[in-house]
Amino acid sequence: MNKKLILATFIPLLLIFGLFFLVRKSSIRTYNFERTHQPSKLGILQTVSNAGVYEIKVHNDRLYGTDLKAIYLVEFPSMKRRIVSELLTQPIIGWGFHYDTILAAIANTRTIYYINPKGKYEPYQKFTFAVKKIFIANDSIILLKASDTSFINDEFYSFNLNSKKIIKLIDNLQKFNDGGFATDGDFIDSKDKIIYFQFNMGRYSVIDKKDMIFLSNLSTIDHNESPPPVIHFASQGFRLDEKFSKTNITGFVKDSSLYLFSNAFSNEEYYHGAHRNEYPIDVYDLKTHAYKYSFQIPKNTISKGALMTVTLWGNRLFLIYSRKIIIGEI
Amino acid sequence: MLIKKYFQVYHLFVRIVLIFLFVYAAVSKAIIFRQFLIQLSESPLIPIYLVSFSGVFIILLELFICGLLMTEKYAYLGLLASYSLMLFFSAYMIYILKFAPSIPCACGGILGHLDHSYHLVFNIIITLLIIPLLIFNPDRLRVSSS
Repeated sequence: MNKKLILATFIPLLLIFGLFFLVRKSSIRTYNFERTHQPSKLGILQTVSNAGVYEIKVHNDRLYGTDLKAIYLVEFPSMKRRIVSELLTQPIIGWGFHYDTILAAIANTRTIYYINPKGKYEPYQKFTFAVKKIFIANDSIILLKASDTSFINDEFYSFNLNSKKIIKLIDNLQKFNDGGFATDGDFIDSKDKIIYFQFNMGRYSVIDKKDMIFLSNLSTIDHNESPPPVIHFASQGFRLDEKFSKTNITGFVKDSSLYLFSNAFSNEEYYHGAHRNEYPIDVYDLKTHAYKYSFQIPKNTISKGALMTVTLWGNRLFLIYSRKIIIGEI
Repeated sequence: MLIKKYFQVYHLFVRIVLIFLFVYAAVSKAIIFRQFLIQLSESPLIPIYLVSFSGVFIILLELFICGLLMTEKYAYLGLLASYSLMLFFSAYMIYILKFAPSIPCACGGILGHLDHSYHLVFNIIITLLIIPLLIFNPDRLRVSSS
C-alpha cells in the first residue's frame, strides 16, 4: 500500500478530529454578528445545550420560560429549569407578571388565571369572551378578544387590574385587518410604550402604556404591506388559501431601539452572500421610527432544531432553538 | 499500451478538473473575503482566533495546490494534496451535517448554493476520482515517446 496515500488519508482525518476536540474542550462558541451596511462584531455567544424552553421572560432579574404546557424558572448560566406551575394539557397562550404573581391565559378559556404558591392555576378574572392573547402592562392587561366566528373581528381591550374596568382600545389597524392579519401578532414591552408587531405583515404599532391608546402604525423595511391572499367563506369566516411563513417572528427593545426578528430580507439589508443560514434582526429607532441597521443570526440547526424565538435579558441575547439555546451579548 | 494512454487522458482530465475547481473556489472566496470570514467564524469546528488565519490559509492552499497540479514534476504531490484537502472538506461536511449546531457554508461561488448533502456527494466524487491516480502512479505508466 502506498505510504503517501495512507498519510494523505489520515492527516486530514486527524486534523478534523483535532479541531473537534479543540472545540469540544472549550464550550464557548463565538459568532460574528455583522451590521448589514457597516460590518462590526456584535457579540460573543455561549452555547447551552438542551435547555428545552422556547419562550423566556425576565422578571426581577430572573429568567422564566415556558414550553407552552408549564412555566419554569430557569437558572443561569446552568439553564437548569424548575417548574413553577402545574403541567397543563392545553397550551398557555399568554402569560406575564403582575408584581410577583404570574398571570396566564389558557387556550379555549374565558378566564385569566394566577399561579398560586403551590403552582396551581386559580381563576383570577372571568370574561364574557374568549381571550386570545394577553400582555400585562403595569396595572392593566391588554387582552385580545377572540371573535366567535373568525379572527377578522378580533379586538383589543384593556382590563384594569385594580378597578376591574374593561375598555375597548381604539386601534388603527382596521384597514389592514382583512384576514385578521393586523391583530395576529405579539407584544413587546418598552418602558412607557408597548410595541405590537404583526406576524404576517411588515408593520408594527406603538401603544401608549399609560393611556392605553394606539399611537402609530408603522411599516418595517420588509415592505410586506399586503397580507397573503385569503379565501372567504360566508358561513365559516375565512381560511387561508395556503400556508405562509411569518414576516415578523418576535422582537425586543433595548436603549430606545426596536429589534425585530424578521423572516424577510429586504433590498435595503441584502448584501452579497447567500443568507440561507441566517435570519435578519432589523433595528429601528423608536424615537424617529427610522430603520437603523440589521444583523444576522444563525437560522437552522441540523441536530438541535430550528430557531424559534429570540429574547433579550440585559445585554444577553438568547437565540432559542427547539432543542438548544445560544446566548450572545449585544 | 491503450490502457496507459486512457489512464494518461484520465490523469490529465482529473488534473484539469481539480485546477479549475480550486482556482474557482479560491477566487470566489477571495472576491467575497469578508463574507467568507463571517461564514468561517460560524463554523463550529474553527475557533475564533483561527478564523482569519484559516481564511487566508485555505485560499493560499488551494492556489498552491493548483500550482503543483500545473507542473509535471510536482503533479503527484498536487494530487496527494488535493486528495487530502477534499477528504478534509468531506469529513468537515459530514461533521457539519451530523453534529453541528448550525450549518454555515463558507464555500465560494456556485458550490455555496448547493444543498449540503449534494455538496458532500460532490466532494466525495472528486475524492474518489483522485484515488486511482494515487494508487497507480502515472509516472510509472508514462508512455514511452519512442
